[in-house]
Amino acid sequence: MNNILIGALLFFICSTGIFGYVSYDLSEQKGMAVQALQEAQDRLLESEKSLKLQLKSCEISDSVTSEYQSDKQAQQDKVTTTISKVDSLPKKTTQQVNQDAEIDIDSKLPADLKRVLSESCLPNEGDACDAP
Amino acid sequence: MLPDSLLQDPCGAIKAGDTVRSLAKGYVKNTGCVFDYKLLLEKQRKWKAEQQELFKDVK
Repeated sequence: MNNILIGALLFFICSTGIFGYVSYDLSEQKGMAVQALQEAQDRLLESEKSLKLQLKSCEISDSVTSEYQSDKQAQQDKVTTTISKVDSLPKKTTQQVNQDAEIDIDSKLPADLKRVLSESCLPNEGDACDAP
Repeated sequence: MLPDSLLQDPCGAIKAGDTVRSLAKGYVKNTGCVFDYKLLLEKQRKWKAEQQELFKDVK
């Protein structure tokens, strides 16, 4: 009877030891898994943040590009309008003009042409129109 | 990275031609071209400033 009790006690002690070791080992693995999961979550958050920044960056590029195209088109419309005005300036009809005649380099521009040309400088404040 | 649309030449210089009218038209186009370049540069500056503001906290 005592042998049976001693055997049961030894079995109990051995099995408790084995379960304790397995439990410790699993606990360690769980700790490593939790740490890896936390690192993955951190990387995911960083990736999300980076993606949002990149998307915002793309929105800025689209916005500035669109604004540029719009402003450029408006400027080109102004140039087209001014060129139409130059085209519509009348030819000299009061006297016969020799088509081959050359004008003097220092002769003055016609007043109406000068007025139209000055319009092309209106939106272009800066160096280009500062010269006399 | 600056978008390609802000890296293209907006225009080129126009020849004077051989009449006062063509000279005048060339002047208008060339003056407009200068404005196009100034506009392009202005938009590039704006793009850079907004990108710097966006990424100011990123190492």
